[in-house]
Amino acid sequence: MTGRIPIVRALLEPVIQLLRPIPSIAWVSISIFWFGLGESSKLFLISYGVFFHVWLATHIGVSTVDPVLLRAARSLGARGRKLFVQVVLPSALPFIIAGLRAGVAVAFIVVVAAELTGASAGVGFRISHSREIFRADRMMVGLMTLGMLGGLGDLIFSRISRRLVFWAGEARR
Amino acid sequence: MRSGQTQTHVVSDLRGARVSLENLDVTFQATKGEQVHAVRDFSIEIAPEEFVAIIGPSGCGKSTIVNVVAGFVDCTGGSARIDGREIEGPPPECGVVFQDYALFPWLNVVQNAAFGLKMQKVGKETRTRIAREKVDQVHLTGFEAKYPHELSGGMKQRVGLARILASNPRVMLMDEPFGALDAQTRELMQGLLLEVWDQYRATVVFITHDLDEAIVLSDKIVLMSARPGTVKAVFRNPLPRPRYIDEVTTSADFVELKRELSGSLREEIEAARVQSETATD
Repeated sequence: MTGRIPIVRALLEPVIQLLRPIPSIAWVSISIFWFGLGESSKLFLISYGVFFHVWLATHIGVSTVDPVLLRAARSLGARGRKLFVQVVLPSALPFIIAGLRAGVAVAFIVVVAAELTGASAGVGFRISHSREIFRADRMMVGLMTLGMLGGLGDLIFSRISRRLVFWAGEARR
Repeated sequence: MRSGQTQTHVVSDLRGARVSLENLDVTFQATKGEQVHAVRDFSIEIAPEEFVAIIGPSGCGKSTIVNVVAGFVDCTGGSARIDGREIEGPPPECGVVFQDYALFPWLNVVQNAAFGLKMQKVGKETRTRIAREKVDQVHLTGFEAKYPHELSGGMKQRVGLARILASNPRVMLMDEPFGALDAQTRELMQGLLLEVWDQYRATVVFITHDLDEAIVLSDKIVLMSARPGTVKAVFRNPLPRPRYIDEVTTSADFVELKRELSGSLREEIEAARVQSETATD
């Protein structure tokens, strides 16, 4: 929306640009304050981390659609919503997916940070609990679990994205 | 003319549309805020089913002419009409073929060819059937399920052609469509275009900087001056049809016309060069 409609851009962009530079981890404390120690504060942090990356990537993707492609579509009769759904969105899809991927990585960091500082469950909580009882081995297990989860998540993601945007990278030759 | 046509026909019997450009003037804002006067007082009348080639030095506004007729760019003066109707936005009777193909990379060959029909809300079965027909017609049978990144330049442009044929255009606008292809492929594509044009009988506006190409294909050649582009001269092409490319290029008429054209074109290229040098001073 902010990528294509000037009014929406003018209204939303300043807000988003103000919020965006704040590191996601900085939101951990306030989110716990607002939402408590449970899952809802994690949910907030994840949404936050993912949203900005996806928004930014979508914004870039949508505002850099090849103008010649738009012309081709318009001369073939694409207008308004159809133009957006059939041409703008698919051309922005590689960007959106890249944004999602970065967003997932950020969400992962933020969640662990949240769990380390204040949570009653989760891998992060286990690590910080192990530290309190001086069990370095348990901490290592926790770290390895995180590594595997993160790696696996990313792998699945890149598999899906390769399926979904098979043309990207080769299309602009 | 066309076989199976009665002797007395009025304009509306012809498939192609009439394109009239009258005192066309186009100025647009360049990125740095300066005004670019691309086209000045440009007038041509293109008869239905006529094949017109536009040549001129680079940067003379050739593409602008196509962009105006395609409805991508508004003219700032004069008028542009198709069959007497003022052009406002992309006219449905126009099909545009672009130099860099502009295929949709996420659609395969048939889906690309069917895009226009999809926009016109033609049912999936019908549009796929028509698109397949057009794909066959541009000799891409067997490549229906391939994606643009799997195709060569020539094949991509075949898809570009099939894509507009599916909507049965009455005007075909081609902006240096074969400019990015190698010489052999280009010749093949020219042959294909003549073949297709013979069947569809659309009016064609063909931009090129290749004199041979202009002569081989067109009925009329418009030579544009250096920017701001205007009509410098119009040449009637005496070569008979049907034309077979390798025969045409060695005929005396061809050589004569080419000599005449290249002389005029050289003057304009020289003018464009002087212009750009004084501009940078």
